Amino acid sequence: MTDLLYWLQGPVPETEPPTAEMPPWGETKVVGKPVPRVDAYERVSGSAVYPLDFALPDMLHAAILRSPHAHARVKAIDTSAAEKMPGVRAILTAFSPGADVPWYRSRGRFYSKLFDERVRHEGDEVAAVAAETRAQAFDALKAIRVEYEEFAFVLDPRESLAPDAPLVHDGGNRYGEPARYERGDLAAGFAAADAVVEATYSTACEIHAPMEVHGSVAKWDGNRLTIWDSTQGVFVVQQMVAGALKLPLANVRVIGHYMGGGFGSKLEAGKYTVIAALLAKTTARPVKLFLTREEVFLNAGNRPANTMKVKIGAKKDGALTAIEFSSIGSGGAYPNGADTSFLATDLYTCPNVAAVDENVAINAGRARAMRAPGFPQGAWALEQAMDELALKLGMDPVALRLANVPKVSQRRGNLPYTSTGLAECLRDGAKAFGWETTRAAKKDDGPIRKGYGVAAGMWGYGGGPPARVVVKLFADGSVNVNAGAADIGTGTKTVMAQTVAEELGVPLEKIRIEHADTGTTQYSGPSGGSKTVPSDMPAARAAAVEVRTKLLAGAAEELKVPAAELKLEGADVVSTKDPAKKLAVTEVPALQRNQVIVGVGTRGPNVEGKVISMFAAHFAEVEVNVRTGEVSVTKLVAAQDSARVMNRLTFECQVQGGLVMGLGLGRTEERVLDRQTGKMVNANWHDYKIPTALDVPVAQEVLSAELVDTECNTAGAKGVGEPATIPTAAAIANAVRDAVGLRVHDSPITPPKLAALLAAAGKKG
Amino acid sequence: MPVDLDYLSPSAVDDAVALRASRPSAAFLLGGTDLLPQMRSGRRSPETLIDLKRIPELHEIRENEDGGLSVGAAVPLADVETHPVVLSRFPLLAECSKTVGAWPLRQRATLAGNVCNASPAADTAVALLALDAVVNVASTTGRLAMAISELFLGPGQTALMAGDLVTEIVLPGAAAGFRGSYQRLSRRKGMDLATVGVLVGKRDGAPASWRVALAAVAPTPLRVAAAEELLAAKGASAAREAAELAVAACRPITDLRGSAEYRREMVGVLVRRGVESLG
Repeated sequence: MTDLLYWLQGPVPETEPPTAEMPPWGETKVVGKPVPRVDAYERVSGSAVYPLDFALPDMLHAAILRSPHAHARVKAIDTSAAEKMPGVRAILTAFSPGADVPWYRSRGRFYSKLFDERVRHEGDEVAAVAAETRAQAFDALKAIRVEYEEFAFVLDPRESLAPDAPLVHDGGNRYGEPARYERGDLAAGFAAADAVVEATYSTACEIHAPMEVHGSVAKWDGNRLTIWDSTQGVFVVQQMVAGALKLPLANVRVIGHYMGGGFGSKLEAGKYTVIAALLAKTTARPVKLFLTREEVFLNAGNRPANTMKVKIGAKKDGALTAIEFSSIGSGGAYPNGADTSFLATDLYTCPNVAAVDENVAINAGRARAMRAPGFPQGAWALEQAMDELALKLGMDPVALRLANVPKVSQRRGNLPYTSTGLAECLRDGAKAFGWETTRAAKKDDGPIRKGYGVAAGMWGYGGGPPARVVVKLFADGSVNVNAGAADIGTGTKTVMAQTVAEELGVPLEKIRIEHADTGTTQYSGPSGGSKTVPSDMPAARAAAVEVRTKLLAGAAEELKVPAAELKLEGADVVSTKDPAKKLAVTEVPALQRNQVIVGVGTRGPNVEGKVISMFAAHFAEVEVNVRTGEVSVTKLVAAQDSARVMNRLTFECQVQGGLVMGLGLGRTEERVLDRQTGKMVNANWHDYKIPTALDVPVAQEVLSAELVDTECNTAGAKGVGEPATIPTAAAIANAVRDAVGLRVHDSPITPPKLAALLAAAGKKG
Repeated sequence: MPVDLDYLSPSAVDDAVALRASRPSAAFLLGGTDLLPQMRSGRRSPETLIDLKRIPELHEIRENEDGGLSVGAAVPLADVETHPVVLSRFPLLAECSKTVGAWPLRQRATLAGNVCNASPAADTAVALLALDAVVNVASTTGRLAMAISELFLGPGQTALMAGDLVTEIVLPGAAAGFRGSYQRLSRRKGMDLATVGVLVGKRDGAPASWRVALAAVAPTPLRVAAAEELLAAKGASAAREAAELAVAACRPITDLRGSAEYRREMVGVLVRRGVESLG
């Protein structure tokens, strides 16, 4: 199974040598330009078919019965009444043949089953129904009688390890031993410090809440299974479904195409995928199973809540001497990542560091990787602590950070970065924001207090193999690009078309992308971890270069000149020495003879002895009303180092999306669990608050450090999805601190919470 | 157990009332922005929906001789808040209406529905209370008019009897001319219910008349008569005392949106601010 802890760089798989020599791009013609999406019309006109839109003749609709209890044992299930309901064609429970499928694997063991007799959170799967209509399926769920034996439950990670805490799993509530990291001598570091700050910070649990709910359509043809899935990675789904159903990979075809967002929650097959397949097998009909919005809130992942203790020491000049960081979080009722210490150990130069991450079980929905898993939480703690340190030292917060910019990755063997733009992000961002001038001119307006904050971040993963792309140039000069990557809304298809157009000189409208289909496209890892551009674009480039090489060789034969003196110019192959010697691409005999020229590109290995990371610095301006506790975020500036920007438009959109998500973490988003019942009380769009257009500042600026990085990969681009959301919430918290002189340690910063702190501090206006 | 749902769409008020009387488990349907989510969550499970939107009478907005306005039950909020008479004579109703959901939602949601749903946080109910609106009701025993101040009994509870159909809401001409503000705190700026809503209105004259009404801080939308009388006697300089009276009158609870303590305090802040801005 694919390691879903994808942000930790594992061993690089053996890869074929690059298929073509590719010097770094100099000035580019298509790459980097603000090109609109190649599929913009389909997306905005509604003609794009998303998995949720997908329908087959004779298709059944399925629904899942979920535990209403946070922790219980299923003593008995009676489906007899439901079986007689109109339209019902099949019901699956733990006792159905083939349904005994182990699920939730971590550290070599499975923690549950498709339908576990012990349910460990509200929303855990108990049974499923397939019926002629979706309404009939949901009606039938209500007719299934389940007898539960309820158990005590634990909801707060901080209470999970108490001696009397209810056990979520029989082996204990720890997901493995605490992960420890150390370097240098912590005690000596703090002894050498002129200033030390220490505090505890916490972040609330967030839900991914993508626009398209999670789900699959499954159809069997004999022993071959086809699945249409809303996923970030068709090959991961293929692998997990084949494993669960004991099918050869070749018999499982997973088709992704359009998908409506995932943010990390669609990096795996869902139980819903396998349940749809089993119901389809039982009924010999295609089955569609999509979660309701409420189910997505309960059971399709979350960014876990974390409590983090930070202690930092520094010399008078700002040089950090020691960082101590400890974090406790929960993967939920089943294991998933909840570590947050990475930033504290690697963002700044510091010789003495100790960090520990504790990941425990609770009776709530399982976490899934969520846009930069662990990093926005870590930034919330570390970057607020840095802010406090700057105050204590009497230093400008930007200057303090600049004084500690590392040249190497201390966490990763002191290896140098292929490029590092942290200093540029801080400097450029401060300049664009007007950091010094606005802070100096700060004025209060009655109860309205303005504040300015900065926070930095990094993302430690730069993509890598395996990835393969096939480019086909057809006889009429049009091009087909075949790649396995999902376009999760970030513009992968557009950027890939630009990459190919750059090498072949073909206009974008003549390029068609076929993607995200395990049956017809090339292998690629899931789109997540900001790795799609740095992993898949080099492969696309290599494939295009191979096509060009073959094309020029064919033209050289016809023109009787060496291929080395030929170049592509628009629709022609032209000699660089004698412009009279030219040939239309479509007239190259090799192309006419074969009707197609094929290039196969692979992603080569990453550079040895270096580390690839992206950096960011975000700046926030807020207005706080000290009478009501209201916080308006009035301006956001994001300075990003992603090396080459592949498309200025998609880049800006992605960073703006990151800012909005960060705003949600900082200001509004919070899963609320009821301590009496263990149920989520805001599992709906209305009570779970994602920022709306009115909450997002009009004043947003997105900057790119535009570093030239010739080593990160052959596209020279490092990716942007995750670093765009890492520091935002912390920057807002720091701005609030600047505005009112007190700090909100726990996200989100809600008006009632802030008003209570202001009242306690005697700072009400 | 799930049941089949009947959908009926009569074209006259009397037919609707008669249908409702013949079906014990029926609900009137207007915009459906409250009813349908309630049905989906299982809070209500009517066996018949009687859609009132085919009844021409209910779509009328009529100017009355007294300078007031009658708003048919099926008129969407979007039409109310943009109506010239509302904007010129009852601007506080437009202010309140604009905070409900979003523009597309207000193409469906109705004033009558907002009132009948009887949420303590209903933004338009605050304006209707402040403007002494009258609710016209049809039932099998005939038609009657009810002062809106007598309508709200508690969260989701009204003085309407089962089967009563609100046909229109009348804004009396005598309540025209109040200007002021509807201030509202919520968890986010768009698409949210009020954590606290405070309407403060004033009509110039000798002496000036005042209106103070509150949302989401009591089992029903609330009008603070004591504060209004104080302001009529002493003017805006009594903002602080008026705010204290409003704080004393409210009876908030703690829920997801905010604590009782925060709400009580905010009533004071917002009433004072609202009064001072009209001083």
